[in-house]
Amino acid sequence: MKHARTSPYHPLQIPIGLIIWSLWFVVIYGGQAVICAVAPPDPRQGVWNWLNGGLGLLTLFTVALLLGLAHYFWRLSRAPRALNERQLFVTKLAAGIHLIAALATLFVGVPLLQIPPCL
Amino acid sequence: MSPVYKNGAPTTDPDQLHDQFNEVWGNPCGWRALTIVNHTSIGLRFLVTGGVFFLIGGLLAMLIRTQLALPGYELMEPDVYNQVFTMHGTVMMFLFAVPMMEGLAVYLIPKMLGARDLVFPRLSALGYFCYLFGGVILLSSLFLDVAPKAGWFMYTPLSSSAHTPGVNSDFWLLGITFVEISAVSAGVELVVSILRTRTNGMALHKMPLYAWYILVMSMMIVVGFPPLILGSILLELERAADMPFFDVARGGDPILWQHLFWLFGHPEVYIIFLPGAGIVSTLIPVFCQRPLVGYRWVVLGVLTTGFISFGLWVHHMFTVGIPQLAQAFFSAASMLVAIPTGVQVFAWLATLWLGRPVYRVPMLWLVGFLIVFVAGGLTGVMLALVPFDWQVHDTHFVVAHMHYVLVGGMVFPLMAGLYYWLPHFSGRMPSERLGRWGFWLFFIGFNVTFLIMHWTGLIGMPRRVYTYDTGLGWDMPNLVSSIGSFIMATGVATILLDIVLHFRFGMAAPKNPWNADTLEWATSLPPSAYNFVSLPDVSDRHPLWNNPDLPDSIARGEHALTVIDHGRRETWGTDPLTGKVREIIHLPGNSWLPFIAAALLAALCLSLLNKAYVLALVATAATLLVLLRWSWENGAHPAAAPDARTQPGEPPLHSRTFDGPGLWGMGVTLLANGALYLSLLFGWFYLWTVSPQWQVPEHRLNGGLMLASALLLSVGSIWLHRLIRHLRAGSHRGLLPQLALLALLALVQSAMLLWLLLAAGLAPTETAHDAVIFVMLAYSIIHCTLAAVLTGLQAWRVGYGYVGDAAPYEPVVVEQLWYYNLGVLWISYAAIVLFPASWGGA
Amino acid sequence: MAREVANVWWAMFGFAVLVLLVVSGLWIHAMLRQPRETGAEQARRINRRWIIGGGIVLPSASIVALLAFGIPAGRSMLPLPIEGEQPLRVEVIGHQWWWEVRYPESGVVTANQFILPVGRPVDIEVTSADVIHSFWVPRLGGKLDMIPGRRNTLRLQAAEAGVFRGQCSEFCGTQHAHMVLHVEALKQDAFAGWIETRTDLSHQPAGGVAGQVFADRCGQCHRVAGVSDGNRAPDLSDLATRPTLGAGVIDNDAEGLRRWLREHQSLKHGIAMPSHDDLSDETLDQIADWLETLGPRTKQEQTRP
Repeated sequence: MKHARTSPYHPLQIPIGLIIWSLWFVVIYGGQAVICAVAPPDPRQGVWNWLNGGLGLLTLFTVALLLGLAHYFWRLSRAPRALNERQLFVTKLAAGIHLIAALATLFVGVPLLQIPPCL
Repeated sequence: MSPVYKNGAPTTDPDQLHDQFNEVWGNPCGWRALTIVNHTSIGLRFLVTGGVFFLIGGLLAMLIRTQLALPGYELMEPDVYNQVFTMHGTVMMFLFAVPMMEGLAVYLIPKMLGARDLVFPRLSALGYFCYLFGGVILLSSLFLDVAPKAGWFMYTPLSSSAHTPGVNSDFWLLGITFVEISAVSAGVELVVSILRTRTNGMALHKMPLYAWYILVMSMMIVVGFPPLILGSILLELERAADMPFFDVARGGDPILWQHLFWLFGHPEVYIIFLPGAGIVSTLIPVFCQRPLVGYRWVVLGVLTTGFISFGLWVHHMFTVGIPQLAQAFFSAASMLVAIPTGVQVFAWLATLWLGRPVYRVPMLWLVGFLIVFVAGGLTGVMLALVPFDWQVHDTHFVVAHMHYVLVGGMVFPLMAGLYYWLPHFSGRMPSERLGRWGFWLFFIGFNVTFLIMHWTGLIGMPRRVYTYDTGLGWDMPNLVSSIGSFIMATGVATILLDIVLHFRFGMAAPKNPWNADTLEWATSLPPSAYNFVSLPDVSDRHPLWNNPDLPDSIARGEHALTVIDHGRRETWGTDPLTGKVREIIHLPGNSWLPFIAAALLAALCLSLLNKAYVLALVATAATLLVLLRWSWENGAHPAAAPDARTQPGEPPLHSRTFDGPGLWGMGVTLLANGALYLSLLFGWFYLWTVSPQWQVPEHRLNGGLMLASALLLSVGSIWLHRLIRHLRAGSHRGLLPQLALLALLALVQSAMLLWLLLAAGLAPTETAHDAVIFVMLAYSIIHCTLAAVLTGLQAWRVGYGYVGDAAPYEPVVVEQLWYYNLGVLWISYAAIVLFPASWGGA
Repeated sequence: MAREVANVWWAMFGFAVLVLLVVSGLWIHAMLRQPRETGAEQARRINRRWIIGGGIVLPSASIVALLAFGIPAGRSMLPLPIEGEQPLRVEVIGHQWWWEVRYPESGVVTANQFILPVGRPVDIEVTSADVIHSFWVPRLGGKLDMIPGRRNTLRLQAAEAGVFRGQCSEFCGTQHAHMVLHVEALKQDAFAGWIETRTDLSHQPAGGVAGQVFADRCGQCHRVAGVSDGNRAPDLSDLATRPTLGAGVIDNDAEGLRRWLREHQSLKHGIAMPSHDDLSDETLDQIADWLETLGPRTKQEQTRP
């Protein structure tokens, strides 16, 4: 019996939310490090500079994506046709993981509103 | 729903069955005990060895506390003291905490999953011997007065040859890397075992929670240890071959070491804590006699912890001058990890709330765990706050916090687990009274030692000072800590006494003494080498609560896979998702090979320590030969499974399929390898952007040659892919010559890389730039050559008939290495040829 | 600054104690209580309440609160551009195991003591000549690592005059324990005087054998303004005004100085200064006599701690 890895009921879906979070984390940490080395914004601009802004937009986009996926899996777990125990486990867990990843993204992104970069 | 595999066993007499199985699975005595590969024996060896290292680490701690008891007191000279505290940390982290938790998992996991052994038994044995030899080599440095003395995180440049000229740091770098072979190999093995050897019907959502914890821990080891292994290799190359990865003047950066170290070091904390939490999640339901509430919540918490713990490492580096915005990301992530931990704590609480817990010694340790660990977690959240960290970083506050988290998160659950599984190890029950004394002495001693140490740090005492002046307000708290540490030591002694005495006076353990729900209690007590005569089907998470008669029916051979007259060691190979049986995995038996390979690796380690590089080369070659010899006994080889016949209705042997555990083992190993390579890549880009005095020499690499080599490798990979597609279609026509040609192609392609390296005019001792390129190219050369050797070996094996359409298992394993090499080479090409060109143009 | 952190600490401490007591109390209560039999549906409700309430809401609320007032507390330590009087710049360079302190605006150099004015922000640029050290004066503010090849800037401001203790807080080798920095905050005019009396200092060499020995041996590493130019060991130009020797090992008085010259290798094992066993007591005493004269130009007594 084969389980397509792209099926929403395959357990590979479980960690994807956190993998997206990890990638986002690498991008904002690496991004600010590289840009601070190459073209740091003027510290007098405070937090309202293009670097914080760009990373902030990316953060919002990621949060939206993760919330969307969480919603998708949540709906799947309440699908009209009955799921078996294993599919229920996978979809509910995936929904939870995506939700947690969205919260984590939002939470880690908050300092973008508070601290100017590169100092 | 799932097919029930049940064979007509030739006998149902348990004793007769035992004798038949023992003939195949039994452990030899005397010298030949060194050949044992069985997970029960290996697990116990890990636990006992780890216990001995714990006692040694504890003695070192006693020395530290004695020295610090009074101001200006010099029991040891500063250099000796520095060796002692460095070794205390090193022994406890690398020789006690991780191996102990892995050892317990090695012992328990197959039993909990209803399997007869781990999937790579000889690898477990190799791992154990590497651990033992590495640990002994590392400890021998203490007696030779050349122990590492730069602190357990070996910050360079203090640990570099300019500031620590002797072999002190080499002992650490080589010894720890040696020990880590064992950690990573156990990690790989546990991942594959958990995914592929669960008994029939144990779907992913029916696994015991402990298996989830160990799965996540093992994956974290696989991804988390390689950065440190790479860091150690680079630092050793700097010390031995003067390649300046961390030397500012030549374009390196000492902060790179800190990144690599903590990229490992923070996940490490959770690698230690998660199995501890796994023990808690296993024990609480048993002592409450009801399932743990929120199984899914706990799995969610464990997975989240596993991921987020990789986003915290910079919180060890808040004072190195990283931009505050970046610090804030890590600060937030560090606090975030409190949430999945909170979920688990409250899941345990809710279980206790609904159940009627029984008070036995393990339960006492769990209460101790909760109080100590929650306290440590709370100070951890405080430390995640950057301005507060600036104040208390590198003071005794951090020392106190770290002991609360590590002792709370690991030692307390471990003690609970030891008391809980003691009847399993020995077949006897421990004493309640002595056990309680041991707990209270340890608990009180621990808190007396470390609670006040928070205060010592807050009033300004830095860590790692060998003495201090009177009159700073540090005298009293230090004395209290020292007294507490001696109380704790008596606690350890009491526990030790209890354990020793129980072997002599303990009452024989009844069957399933705690009325547990998991399968490890379905073995005999103590267990036999094969765990289960027959492998039961599982339909939910609590097999023993559902069917308390299971131990007996298993022993009577009423379940599956009871025929053993073929002489193979067999266990189920199941689908990772549904837990349905797919094939029979046949396991290798006892062998000298792991011991010999580990001994040769020890010789390699020692010759590197003595800078005897010719000898090191010989040892490397010998190790390689032994490992290749090891791989020879596989597939249809007479010592493996020459006869592929199975009982009617049973699935095929794994070596007759395309999806054996070796495929998974290779995949997970390459994941670890990839983490190592990514760390190197990170180092390259990091130095390029951040290193204060980065220098790019004039000369250019021959990009064309590298491109040609990468293209050749691409052609080879496509060729191999087509070849294996044919094999999958059932045809092995032309397999031998084509594999031989592919080996040749890989050899040519490696030779091109070697030529590139030699002709590039690199000066790896003059700039970090050239040193990194050197390592990157050497990495690909080694891997591509390995692929050539393995492919050649496959061709040879086809000639013997060990590999072919009947036993097609191995080429797909080697195929993965090809793809891996391909990916690495292209990325390296982009990183060292394309990237500098575009950067220079910008 | 340190005050703000102290306030943060007490707030966190109170909260943490509360959480610890509540969680442990709940846990112990849960163990002791005798629950009635609960139905499956009711049990699920109870579980969800505990896990969501205690495991998610509680920690989330706590860390949001913590970040909300924790992150701003760190901003005052950032070297942000400021209006009005610019901060005083000081360079502090870590060595195994002593502190080199330079005031680039006036060219004053001293060692193992760091004098700063009250009420003016000070930007301390820290770096290291060998291994990683860490600059920390607990009562003035947080610590910052001193890393070879890098210059990190820490902004501190002393609110009132006084003497503080600094100590290296990153493990830096054998004598990490003996790397103490004497820190003193002076009123603005006293500080100006302190700087002025040390600017463009020039001493006379010692006479006789002592002068010769100092030039041949000590002067190779130690600088004394107008006498020698060594740069590997502490500058001795205002040695007489320093409270201790060996970065906090022994008091700098007549007896202490003479003991230090004879026993420095046992007082502070492992330091780079070679043993003086081959020098006669007479020579060492002469050198000590001369070292005691090395002070600022005038008003010497005034600034002596």
